[in-house]
Amino acid sequence: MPRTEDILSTLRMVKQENLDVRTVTMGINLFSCVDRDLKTLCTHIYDRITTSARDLHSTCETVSTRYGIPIVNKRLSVTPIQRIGEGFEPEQLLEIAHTLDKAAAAVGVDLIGGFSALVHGGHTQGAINLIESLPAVLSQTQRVCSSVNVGTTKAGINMNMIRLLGKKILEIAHATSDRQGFGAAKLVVFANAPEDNPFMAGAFHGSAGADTVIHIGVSGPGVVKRGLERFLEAVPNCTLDEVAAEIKSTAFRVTRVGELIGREVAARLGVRFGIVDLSLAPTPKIGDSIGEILQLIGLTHVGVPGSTAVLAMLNDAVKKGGVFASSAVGGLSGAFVPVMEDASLADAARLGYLTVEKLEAMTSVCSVGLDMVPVPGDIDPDTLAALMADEIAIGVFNNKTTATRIVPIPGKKAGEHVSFGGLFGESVIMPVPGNGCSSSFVNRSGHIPAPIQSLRN
Amino acid sequence: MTKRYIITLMAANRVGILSAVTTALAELGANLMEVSQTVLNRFFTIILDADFPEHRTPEVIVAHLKDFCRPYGVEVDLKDPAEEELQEESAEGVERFFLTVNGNDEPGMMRQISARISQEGIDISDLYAKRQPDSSFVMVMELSVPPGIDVLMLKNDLESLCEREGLIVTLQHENIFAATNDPRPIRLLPVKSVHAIHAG
Repeated sequence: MPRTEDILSTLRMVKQENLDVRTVTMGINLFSCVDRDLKTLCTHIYDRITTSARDLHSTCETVSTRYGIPIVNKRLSVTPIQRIGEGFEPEQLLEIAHTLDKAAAAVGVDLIGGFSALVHGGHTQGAINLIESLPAVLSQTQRVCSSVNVGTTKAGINMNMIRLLGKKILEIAHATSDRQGFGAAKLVVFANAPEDNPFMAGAFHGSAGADTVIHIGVSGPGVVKRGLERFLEAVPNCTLDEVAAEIKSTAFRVTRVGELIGREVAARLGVRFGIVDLSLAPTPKIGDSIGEILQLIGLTHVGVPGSTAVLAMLNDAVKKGGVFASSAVGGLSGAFVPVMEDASLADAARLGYLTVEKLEAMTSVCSVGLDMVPVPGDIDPDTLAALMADEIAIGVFNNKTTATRIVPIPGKKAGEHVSFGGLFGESVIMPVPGNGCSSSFVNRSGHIPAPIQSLRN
Repeated sequence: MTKRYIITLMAANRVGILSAVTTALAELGANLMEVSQTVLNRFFTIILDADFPEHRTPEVIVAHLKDFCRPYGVEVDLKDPAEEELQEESAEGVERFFLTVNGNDEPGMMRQISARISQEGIDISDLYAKRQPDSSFVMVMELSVPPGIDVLMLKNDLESLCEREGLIVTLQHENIFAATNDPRPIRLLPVKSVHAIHAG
């Protein structure tokens, strides 16, 4: 019998500290569905998804019951639709999106990622068509999520596509103005996008993966925070080394749970187990916040001086604990700082401690980037593009993943409030200084060349 | 040739008691196969599985242990496995789950829970239960669950049984505790994939 203390401490993590598995995401390869006839293609896609994911929900429930660990989300990611939809017009791509939406609904999944394009090295007509279709796709479907990879450290940054996305994100927001621009919350613009990311909205199934694969997103920041709270009560004057060690220890346990659940779900489904993503993904629930961890360590608010340093330490400790716990770590694997989805971050934004500029600095030491940042609805599209270019440059030039999920809120100005409800949260709209000051740069178009890989200062 | 016996000993706990017991066993020529010892509310208890020379009779073993451990006032009981009707060893495919119950100290809970578990043919292979200083109650049961048991149904039944008394019950496979407390890799038992189940 394991030691009673060990049993009870595991139980405490589940019952009182909300240890869970944040997502089980099934990646599905759609290359076998390719057909030049749209109707046939859509039939193949629907059949492939509904066959592969038929038992995802029930299997997750079985494994969740067996271990007494809640599995919060079950999701799907598919091959980037650009790859299988080359040659189709935007309105035909919309049909494909509707097919994905229906297939996800049929297997009881709330989000499906992969309506995506990879344009870091240049763009095909198919990629342009996909980006052109986004306002219709993200306003007319419920479950479909999209992403566009616009830069990599090897290829540099495709500014033409960033400029186009600046315009399209505003169109998406206006197409969903009845939902306060919510459509833009389902589009991620990436640098160095991972092909095995289980988290939405940026998940897609990489072409180097297996036909069908199970990826795991580990428990959220709540369990790390409560573990740290207990430690700080016991050792109030502990040093930062001790804080880091405590976080590492919790991250180890959390990752082991994720891996156990993932391997068993994959085995029961008869598919390959992929990776465990160590990212701490907050929710708007009080206590499930990255910001609250930073506050616990000693900052009055997120965004005050010290925030980048503490976030770097947290991110690193989580990775160290996680990497020891699992031999299959991947995805984004870093703390998320989505403003609307993290109550503490949203509060700091309301009080003016957290600005877009400070957030950008913080994203250089964590994942993903300017995530769920609500901005004024009248933001200039070139300014939006330039803001994205800044964040993408951090990723490309530091050889890491970064991303943006910037949401213009139609009809609202900086300082006003927006709420999407549920997991998507709420916040004040954050001001973007220098609106309209970057057009000449953005309109030069072209490519920012790939960075030098030596002389790394 | 040897003869195997199961022996239990109990006494108020004192320093040196285990040393006395094992010395007496050595003098009897015993070879210990398995031992479990604990101190509960300042009482020492031990259960031994040991081989003895065939000519040592149960009466001699008990008398010698009592005599040697007289300063400790040890009570001794001995069973001969050959004379008992023993349950079959765990069959293939049996898995270990842990049932944890905590909440208010309600009389009769352990009886009700163990009765429900026995209805399923599940063996309780280990148990820890203790009233806490705040008058709450914690119980951890190790269950040997045979194949084919509907764990979800059992969990739901136990939850509704305990809910009435304001108790929280959790049933979890042992691997979750290995995952969270032991850095060694976990080997999953082979499971039948859903495709095989659909095909079958």
